Amino acid sequence: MDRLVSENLQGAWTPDHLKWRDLTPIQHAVMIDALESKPVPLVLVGYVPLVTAAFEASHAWLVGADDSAFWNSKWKYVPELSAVAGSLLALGLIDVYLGNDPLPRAQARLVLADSRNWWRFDPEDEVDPADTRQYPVDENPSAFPEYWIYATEAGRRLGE
Amino acid sequence: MSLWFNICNESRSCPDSLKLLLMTQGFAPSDNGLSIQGMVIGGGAYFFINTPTAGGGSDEGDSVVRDFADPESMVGATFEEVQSMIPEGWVEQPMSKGQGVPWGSPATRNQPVGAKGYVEFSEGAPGTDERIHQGGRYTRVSSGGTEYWASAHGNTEIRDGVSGVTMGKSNGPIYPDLSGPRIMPRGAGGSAGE
Repeated sequence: MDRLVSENLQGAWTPDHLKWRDLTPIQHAVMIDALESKPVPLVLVGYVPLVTAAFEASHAWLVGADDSAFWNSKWKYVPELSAVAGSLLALGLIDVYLGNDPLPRAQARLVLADSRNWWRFDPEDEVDPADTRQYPVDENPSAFPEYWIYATEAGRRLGE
Repeated sequence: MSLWFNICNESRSCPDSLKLLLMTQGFAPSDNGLSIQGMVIGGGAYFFINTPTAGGGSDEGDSVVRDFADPESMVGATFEEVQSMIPEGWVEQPMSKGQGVPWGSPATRNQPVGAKGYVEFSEGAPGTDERIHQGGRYTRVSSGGTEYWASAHGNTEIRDGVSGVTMGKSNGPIYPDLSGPRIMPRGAGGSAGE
C-alpha cells in the first residue's frame, strides 16, 4: 500500500483501481468507519486489533489478552491508525471534517497525524496500566475537537 | 411446564438470571393472561413488569430478548428497541453526514463521547463490501473489546435468511453499562427518526 500511496501522490495511479481486497485489515477497518462516518477518537475506540497467533507471538510484549478494552490501553494503536488514516487520505478515499466543513487536505493530514486528536491519557479511567503512567496528565484539557472522517466519493466506489 | 418458573419467581433466593433463563426457555406461564411486557437486567438492577395482554394469552411474538453483549440477540432489532436499551446518561451525537443515530458514553475530562462504548443505529452504508451494510439498517456496537454489526429490522440480510451478524475482530469484554438482557415488547417501525 505504501507503494500505491507513493504512486498516487505522483499522479501515476488513481483510486478507481483500488478494490476492497487490496486494503490491509487495518485500512479496511478505518474505511468502514469512514463510510459509516465517525469522530476520529471513535475510530480508535472501535478498533480491536486482529490478534492472530503470529501477531500475538510478535507483539506479546505489547498487547495483553484483552487490554484493548480499556481507553488508557488504546494509546498503542494510535500510531498505526494515524498512519493508515493518513494513507487513505493521501489516496483520496477519506476526508476529514470539522463540523460540517471538510478540511483542506494538508490540514487534514496534520489533524490525523496529531495523536491528541485520537487519544489522551485519562487519569480517571478505571484501568491505569503501569505502562501508561509515563504519559503526562493534561491539567487543563480541552475538549476533543469534533473531527470526523468520511468516505469520499472515490471511497464509496471501492470495488469488490 | 411453568411450575419451575413459578417456584423460582416466588422465591427470594432464586437468582434473576435463573428466572430469565426459565422464561426464555419456555418455562414461564403463557396461559394465564399474562405476558412479559418489559424486563431490564443489568448493572445490578433487576425488575419484571408483567401486564395483561389484550386477547389473553399467547406470548409468542409479543416479546423479544435483546442484549448488547449477545450479538445474535440484536439481529432484527428496531430503532425503538435499540433506543430503549441505551444506558441512562449516554449522549446522542448528531451526524453532519450520513443517516443514523449514534449514542456514546458521556465525555469525561480526558475522554471523548463514546470512549467507553458507542451504539449506532444506521440506515445502511452501501459502499462497503459487507452484506450487512449493503442490506440496509444495522446496529453497530463498539465497546471495550467487543465490536459487531447486527442486521436491524428491515435489513435484507434477514429477509434472505442469512446470518445477520458481522463480528469485528474480537469478541472481548463489553462495558457493564451495555451488558444484560432486556425483554421488551417486539417493536414496531424500525428506522431512525421514524
